[in-house]
Amino acid sequence: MIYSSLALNLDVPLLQAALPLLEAEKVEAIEWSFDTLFKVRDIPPWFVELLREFGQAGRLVGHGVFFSLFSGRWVPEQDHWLKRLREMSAEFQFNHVTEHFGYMTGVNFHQGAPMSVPLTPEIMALGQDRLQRIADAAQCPVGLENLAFANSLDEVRQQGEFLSRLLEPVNGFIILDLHNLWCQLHNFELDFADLIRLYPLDRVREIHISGGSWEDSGARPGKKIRRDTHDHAVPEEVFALLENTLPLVPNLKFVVLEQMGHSLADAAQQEIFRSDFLRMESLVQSSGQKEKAEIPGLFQPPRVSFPEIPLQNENLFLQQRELAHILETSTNLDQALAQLQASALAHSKWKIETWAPEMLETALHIAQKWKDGW
Amino acid sequence: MKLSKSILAALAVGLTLGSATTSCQKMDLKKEFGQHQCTSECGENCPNSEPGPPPPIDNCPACGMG
Repeated sequence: MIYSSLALNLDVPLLQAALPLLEAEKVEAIEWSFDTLFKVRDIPPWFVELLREFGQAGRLVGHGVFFSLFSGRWVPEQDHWLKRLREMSAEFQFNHVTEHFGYMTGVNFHQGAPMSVPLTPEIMALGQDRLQRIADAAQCPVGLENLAFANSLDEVRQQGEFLSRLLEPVNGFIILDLHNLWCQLHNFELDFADLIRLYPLDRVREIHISGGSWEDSGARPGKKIRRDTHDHAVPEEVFALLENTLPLVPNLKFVVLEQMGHSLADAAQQEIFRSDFLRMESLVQSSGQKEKAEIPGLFQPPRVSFPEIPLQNENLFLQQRELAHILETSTNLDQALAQLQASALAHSKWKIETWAPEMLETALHIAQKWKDGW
Repeated sequence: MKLSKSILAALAVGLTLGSATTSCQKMDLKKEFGQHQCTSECGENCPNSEPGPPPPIDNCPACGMG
């Protein structure tokens, strides 16, 4: 069974846009970013009831955004995140729990730009250690979402394999975010068929679709960079990707529409959002895959033991800190390039020599926009 | 999925009253951990024990900043 789902959070415009779909019994499951409300003491009871109702039906999935899987150092915030996940998982019945691939560049936790890390045995071990802790806290299947941002073609082409190996010990799954994939297809001028075959498609249990925005590149005049900002309707191209991907993912269970509430302020935007949902639902229906049976326990994590003290990687931490400083303080692309070439990241596994200048420029924009957090 | 009428009604009322906030509140724990030294006077509101609500903001990049 594939559920046509909405990413629903405690967000007035988003819930206003979704209410007619909920009333019409169109929403088959919901995804909730449980860690966005860790600091809120009193979640309104009606929202708790909504979560419980979907949870009891096995149709609630938890989507974390703040764990920063690959930060070199383990920080108290990650302990707190796991503690709250354990509590939330006990209170609500998540069908599965997910986080994002990569880490945040910020000098402080939860700031900066989302970035990938080099695929090395040490860094793989770090990610696997943390995923096991997430699985232990969640007590349900766990998965990771593919990243939209990439510095180089190598990073783009490697992400599928990276995710596959990372998820193996927890028997985890992938959220294939098709807008993120489209960002990479556009930004690196790739064909869908060439890129999708690099992903372990039998591990895809969830698909995301969303909109985003364009940014003019100064480094490559005439080139537009696609950004995953979730602030517009779903583009035609992403619907086409959904149609092409549905037959390729045999273990798909949730297809989720995401949009941020601030871009749903007026009635016209809310109407387009509902129209996007109904089009997504129609594509799922017409795929012929909707009613197929799920293999029981397919992504159930095995019981694993892990060290009491989380793995850390001090060398990775120092490199991440240096990169964050460069991204947050460089006044232009040339300065950032010069600093990178003089940094510990030069001629290292980070392969900064292969980074596309227009993507480094984009990373500068993102990191400087969000360096003070949000 | 069919939802009970009471949940839908409560949802509609809750939205009318605006008792929701943004989905994109930062888990701003950096201000709480490591910066506050607990004392014997720390109580329920101690930032090291349970975080309080942050001011609502929008345009959270974690929801789609890549």
